[in-house]
Amino acid sequence: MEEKKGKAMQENILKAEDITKSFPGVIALDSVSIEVKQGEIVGIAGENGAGKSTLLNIIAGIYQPDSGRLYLRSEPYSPLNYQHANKHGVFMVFQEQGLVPSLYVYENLFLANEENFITNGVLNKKKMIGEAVEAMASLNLKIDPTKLTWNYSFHERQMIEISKAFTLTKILKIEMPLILLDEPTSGLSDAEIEILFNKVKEYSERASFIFISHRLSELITLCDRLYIFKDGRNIKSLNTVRTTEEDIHEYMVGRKRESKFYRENLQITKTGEEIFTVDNLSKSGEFSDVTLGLRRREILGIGGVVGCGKTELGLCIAGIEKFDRGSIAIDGNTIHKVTLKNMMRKGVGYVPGDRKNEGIIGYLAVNWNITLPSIPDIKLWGLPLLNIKKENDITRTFISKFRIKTPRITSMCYSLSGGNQQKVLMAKWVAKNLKVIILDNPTRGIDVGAKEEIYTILRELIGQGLSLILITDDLLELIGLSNRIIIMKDGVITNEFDSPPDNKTTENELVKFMV
Amino acid sequence: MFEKIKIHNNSAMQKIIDTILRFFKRRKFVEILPYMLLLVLIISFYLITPIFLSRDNILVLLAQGMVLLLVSTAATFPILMGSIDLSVAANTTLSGIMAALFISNIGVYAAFPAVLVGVGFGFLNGIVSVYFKLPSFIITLGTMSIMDGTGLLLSEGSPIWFQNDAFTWIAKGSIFGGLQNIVVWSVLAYIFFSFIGSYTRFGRYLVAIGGAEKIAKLSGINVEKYRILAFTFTGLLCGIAGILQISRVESASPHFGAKLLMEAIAAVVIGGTPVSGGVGGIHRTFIGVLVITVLSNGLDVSLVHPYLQLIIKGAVVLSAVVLTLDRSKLALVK
Amino acid sequence: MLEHLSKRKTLGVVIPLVFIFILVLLFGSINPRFLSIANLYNLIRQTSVLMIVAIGATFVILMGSIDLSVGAIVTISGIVSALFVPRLGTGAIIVGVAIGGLAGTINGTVYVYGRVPSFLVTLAMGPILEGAALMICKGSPVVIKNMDFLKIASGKLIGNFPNIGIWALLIYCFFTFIAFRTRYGRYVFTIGAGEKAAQFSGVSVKRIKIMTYFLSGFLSGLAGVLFSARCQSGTPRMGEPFILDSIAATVVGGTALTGGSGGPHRTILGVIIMGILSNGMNLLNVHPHVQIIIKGVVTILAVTATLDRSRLEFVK
Repeated sequence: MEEKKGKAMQENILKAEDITKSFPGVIALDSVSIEVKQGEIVGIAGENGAGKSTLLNIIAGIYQPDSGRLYLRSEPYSPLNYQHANKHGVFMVFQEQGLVPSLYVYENLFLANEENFITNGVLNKKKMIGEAVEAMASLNLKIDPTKLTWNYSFHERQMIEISKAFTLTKILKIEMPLILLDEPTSGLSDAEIEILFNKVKEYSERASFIFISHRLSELITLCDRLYIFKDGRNIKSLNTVRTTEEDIHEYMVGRKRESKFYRENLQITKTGEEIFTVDNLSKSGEFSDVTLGLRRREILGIGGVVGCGKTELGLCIAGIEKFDRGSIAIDGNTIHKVTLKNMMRKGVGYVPGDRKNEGIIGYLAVNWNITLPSIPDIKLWGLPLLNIKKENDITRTFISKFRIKTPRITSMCYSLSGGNQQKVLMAKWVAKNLKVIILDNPTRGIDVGAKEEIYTILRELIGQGLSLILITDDLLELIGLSNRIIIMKDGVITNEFDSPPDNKTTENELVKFMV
Repeated sequence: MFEKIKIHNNSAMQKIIDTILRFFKRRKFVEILPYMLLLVLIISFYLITPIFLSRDNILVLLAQGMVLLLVSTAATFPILMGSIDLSVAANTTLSGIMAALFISNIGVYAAFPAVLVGVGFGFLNGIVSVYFKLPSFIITLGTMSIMDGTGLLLSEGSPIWFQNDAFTWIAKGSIFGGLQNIVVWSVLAYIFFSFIGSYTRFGRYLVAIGGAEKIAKLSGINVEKYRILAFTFTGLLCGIAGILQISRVESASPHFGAKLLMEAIAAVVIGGTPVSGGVGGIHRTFIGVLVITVLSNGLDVSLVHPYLQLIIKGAVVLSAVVLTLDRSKLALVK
Repeated sequence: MLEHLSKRKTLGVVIPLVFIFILVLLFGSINPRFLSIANLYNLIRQTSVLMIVAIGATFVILMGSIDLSVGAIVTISGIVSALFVPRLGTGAIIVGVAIGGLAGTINGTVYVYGRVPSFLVTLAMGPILEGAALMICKGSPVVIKNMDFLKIASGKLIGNFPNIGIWALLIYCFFTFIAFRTRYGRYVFTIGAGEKAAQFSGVSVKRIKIMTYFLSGFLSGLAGVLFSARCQSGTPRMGEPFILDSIAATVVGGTALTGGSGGPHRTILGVIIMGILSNGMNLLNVHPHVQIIIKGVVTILAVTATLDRSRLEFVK
């Protein structure tokens, strides 16, 4: 075990007290308090939606907290916007990169902070470049500030963003910056991650860091100390010296699973023959050699950490993304042209995880949304025309069946609550008489009551003879709903096991195969 | 994560076209394209008729291209930002007409304040863009109409002629033997604005806004202020262009707008600033203007019918745009 | 939320109607000739061509795109069909719509497969088509003398109602049906309201887009033929006013530029308003050039009022 740097009693650079932040329908942070000392690398662990990013955004001034207090270097700190935070020495390395690709590196470094380099309105490029070169040298980075930013790889641009923090704090004459790293490792190779970590450790003499990641091993390797967030609360603070990944996971998950919630009593134990087969499916960079079979009236759950390939797998099976090798068959017949439209024709539908942009159309009426995939199947007097009466009948059927709360069948979808929107999304695909429906995180971002209703709907679908593939980040949901569970890690299936109602597994069991 | 999902449907046609276009999309190619094009054009026209490269013709060519230079430079500002100004030609025309009227009715010095007309309309474009929050193409489509109408109204539909040697000297006199003055003023103006583009915060921020508006805003750049400034500068340049134009032809005509608009945008795009914005700069527009001017002049000298010229130029513009558009930035092409 | 929604929709119809009412009162009181039947027929004659072009524009705008080449298509189809009248008589209509459809298809193809923003494609196609038109007619108007052909616009099949008005009404009714009762129409709305989700639901977005531009071209082509019949000649640049007018009519009628809402049934209101404005201004002897200015202002105002800004993250 590496000896972590022993640091004597040190000043806090950041103190957050009772930060609360909510968005419509969801409490992102519930009275969260953390501390970061000078020169520390502090990590935050937690599931998707636990509040980690939200907290960072508040510290960086991008969101405003509903309540709570922040202290920076022992002074009250309430940044109005990101630039304001910069002026106090707080910087963020954004997941989607915070640099303008078409500017030169040095231009990005000083963007919106060129006051020191201006004489009579004219920019002193030489001075800026000189400053930038010096900064890169002092940070041991082999980056040429006079090149255009898009010449550099994702990883290198991250380093540029980090160096931006140092260059600006130097100009603003601040002692030590606080650098927030929001899931920086998502797009990096192992080698690049190692470089990043070495650099961060190197720089921790001159800066403090907050680091978010899904990969627990990274948090243990890099950080001095670790917070664990769950459901918007800071539930534990751990020193990483003697912590294992299992320790962390135990705190992260471990909720009581309510079998009634997942309607486990409705789970069908006698599933039928295999109707949908995926054979050695591979897509470079995402997943490889995935083989699975879906039986009639079965809910097959696929779980794994974010980035394990399950989402990509779902998209490929649905015909939305292309895969490199392998085959898909339904009812024993291999499907030759795997495209979205063809898969729909063969009876396979896909309920996307991004409800707002890919699932329902907010600016279209409820009835038009529900009938959209079914339009090619509807005829009027034998002609390929729209049959408004039939459409409205279908709509009304589903509104009552799924208990969708909407003022009118012609109301715009954006006016519905998240839960009702999700029901519309489900109705859309159920209306189409499919054999297989693939669902990606069907209960993401909706309230508990609506979740229950969705689970009931799913069980009813099974009762009617459908088969479902459930891809989800919610472990409890995965366990509660599925007949069988497949776990993926880094693109391959690591385990597959049954999940009968009388012998459900636990989250911890699953997690073992996920990390 | 979800932005990168593109639905594939095995469309062979799309695949072929994308492969061809990918070759052209390489940035190096985009940068070399205008120079290559220029070379090809010059050689071709010279082969067709050697008069093309005669001293006299070159001088004429340069003079012909100056108004376009200014108008294209004007158009570059909003394009850098990712917007567009369809009213640049109408603005130039109107400024010219107002200047001509002032000269006829008041006196030669009254011509210069006509520049303020250009500035005014440019400013209007900026204000409407920021406060009404409308897409720039519709705003400038509207103001283009307004300016066209005003121009037609004031000129009563026909060119305004005037006689003033001092004024004509501005464009047609020559300080440097042979070279028309309009070239001198225009190049000076161009250098000035090019400098602004490359050496001031303003120029840099336009590129930032065009390249990644979200990030620019986050970094604290006052997007609204720069948007208004950009459109105002556009108006200023159009005003100047208008005055030089009427000085050159000794009249103001309300009719040559549409062609000028298309050529201006073409020059910007061919020069290397794509319509999606965020790349390139004012310094690039010069070569684009040269290409268009050489093309126009060459077609003239080769005695190609003016109507055919219109078609050829339109086709060149379309091709240039298709080849240089930065498609990765347009997730959904509307 | 509920009140907000139905308010928006009702307002969308009520406001234009109120506008029409006010304009009619205004112009009628200033010049009583405005209210005569003869003037009504005049109005119909003046607006029918715009109606046809605007319907095409409506479909394009519903989809979230734009077509700036409609003017040029009107011109070239008007000129070419005029040239074919001596040989084909009324059959020249076919030539006109064929040209329009072809031009529209080219627009759509470059837009979809070249991935060029629609305003740019159609902006560039405009001068190309105008240039071609000029070349074909060598710069001078092509006069039409064939009475049968001229009658398709100026004749009167039903009482005193102008033929050209019948064309416009038929097109209006037919395409309103298409928009609300066919799969194609539904897909146009869907793409305009949410292209990504439409793709994820199996809609052939590319095909629909090209189809729509074909339609716009086709209708502009038809409009060109009828226009030249009405003017008794095919003239260079004759279609120019339609570019802005068709967009204005569509938007004023209640179809937002952002797409996905409104429809061709609303466009008639916009056409009537633009028509009344022109007609009234003419009777008041407002200078034609001032009229252009006023129309530009009206367009901006109408777009402002109807644009659904919540749908535009960054207005460029």
